[in-house]
Amino acid sequence: MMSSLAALASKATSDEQLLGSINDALLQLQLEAAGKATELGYKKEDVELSRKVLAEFLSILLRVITGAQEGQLLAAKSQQEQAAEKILLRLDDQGKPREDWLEDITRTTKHLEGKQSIDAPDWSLLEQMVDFLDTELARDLVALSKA
Amino acid sequence: MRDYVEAKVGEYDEKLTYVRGVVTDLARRGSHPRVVAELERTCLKIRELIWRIRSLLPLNLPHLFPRIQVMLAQITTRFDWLEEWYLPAIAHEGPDEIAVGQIIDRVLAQLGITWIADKVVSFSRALAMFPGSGDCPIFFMPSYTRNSLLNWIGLYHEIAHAIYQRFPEIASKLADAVLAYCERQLRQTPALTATQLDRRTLRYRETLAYWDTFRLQELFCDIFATVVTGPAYLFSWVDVSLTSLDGPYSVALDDEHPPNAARTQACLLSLHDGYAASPLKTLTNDLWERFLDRRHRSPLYDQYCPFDLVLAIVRTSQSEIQRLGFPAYQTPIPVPPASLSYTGMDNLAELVNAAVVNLLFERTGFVTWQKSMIERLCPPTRNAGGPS
Repeated sequence: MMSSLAALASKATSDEQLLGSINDALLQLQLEAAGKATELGYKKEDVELSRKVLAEFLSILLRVITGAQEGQLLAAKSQQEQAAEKILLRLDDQGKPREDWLEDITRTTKHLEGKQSIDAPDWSLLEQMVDFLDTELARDLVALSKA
Repeated sequence: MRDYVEAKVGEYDEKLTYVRGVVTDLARRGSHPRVVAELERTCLKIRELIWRIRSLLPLNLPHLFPRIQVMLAQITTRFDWLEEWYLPAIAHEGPDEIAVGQIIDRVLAQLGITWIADKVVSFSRALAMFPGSGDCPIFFMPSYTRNSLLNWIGLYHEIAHAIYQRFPEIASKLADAVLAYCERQLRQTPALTATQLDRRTLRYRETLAYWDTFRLQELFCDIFATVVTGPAYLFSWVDVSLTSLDGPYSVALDDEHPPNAARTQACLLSLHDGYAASPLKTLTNDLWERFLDRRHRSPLYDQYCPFDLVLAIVRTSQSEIQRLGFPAYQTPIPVPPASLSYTGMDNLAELVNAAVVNLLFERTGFVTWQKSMIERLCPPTRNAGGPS
């Protein structure tokens, strides 16, 4: 009744799954960019799906940041929406205005959705997202060890 | 970096060989086939990650190392899942734990929970549930639980975690209820300046963020436990609050649990109307009111836990509990002194209600009565940890 174990363990599991799927999607795009995707057994459809996974996640993040900017009330229901809410807090800690983040995320989302080539700022943004998710999981595991 | 990753993966491979040996031994014992299957799946996932890392290393692409680092962390997390939770719990499971497990099985069957295919019971920590993958949880409880009927009541709260995680629509509907409450409040347009209106919007955004899925889960578990066990859970929760160091209105943003006063409010609102005039409910309510006397609600409590919002969460939870077909507890509470003659063993919810009545209204006979009931509920085993 007073233990947080069940809630913390389920949060850690769901955060780990999300981190794994985003990391894996980014890995496939990086392999494709290096011309090594086929060598590692990834098909064209796998890479397309990975673009979709990343674009969807960024779209959710975009919606969460825009909602916060406009003072909208949004309920974070899905695992990705909950993660996006946490990322929003991290973004605010980075010292970069939300408007700039919105611009960067919109740009990268368009590149992913338009099947255009991913450039250096896109890679940087996507890697930062993985870092944020990684940090969240690390926090979960610390909390779980204390539960 | 490449050398390090190669060395690390080699180390993980050795560790995996060891863990798979342990899991194979467990499989041979045959006591937890479903848990063992889950552990084997986890080993398989670790093996896949090791294989993928090994396939990436020869490419020698330094910009992939952050991706590999995440995979190493995923492997560590999975080893922890095995080594910190399941393997020790199974290794220390003896006749006492198995006896308790059989009582949990009866409770699960009475609640109509069929998806929990297997479980492990461990006396290594306070009452809690480790959900694992969802259908093979670990139930933690102090070994003293075997000697105290009141300690069993919290089990229903822990089982509710498994229900909340099994049916994601519960979380979705509760989030909608909180959103609808905040929107309703915002639609009211008192004469405020633009700045005041902005502040008000921010406050409701904060309230919405406060009620994340984990706090909603905790409150749902209290509501569920009250619905399925009646006044026993209400008393048990008030008992926990009264002996807790947390102030009833204390809002801890780093804690998944809502404030104790909000949880009590939810339990009171969830209790079936049939118990409204029962002496047990009246006594519990009086206890709680006296506890609250001269304690002041904080502004943060009023912002995050207003009555109407707690009520909305309770109503939505009740509706979900009913929709999913869980039985609401409506059995009449035994009346003292006849409650000391209660001997039913088939229904734990009835038994713990009788236990609370006897504890509060038949103190002199309670200890002997409880001892006799415990001896029947958990017959002594050959282990030293049996009922005393």
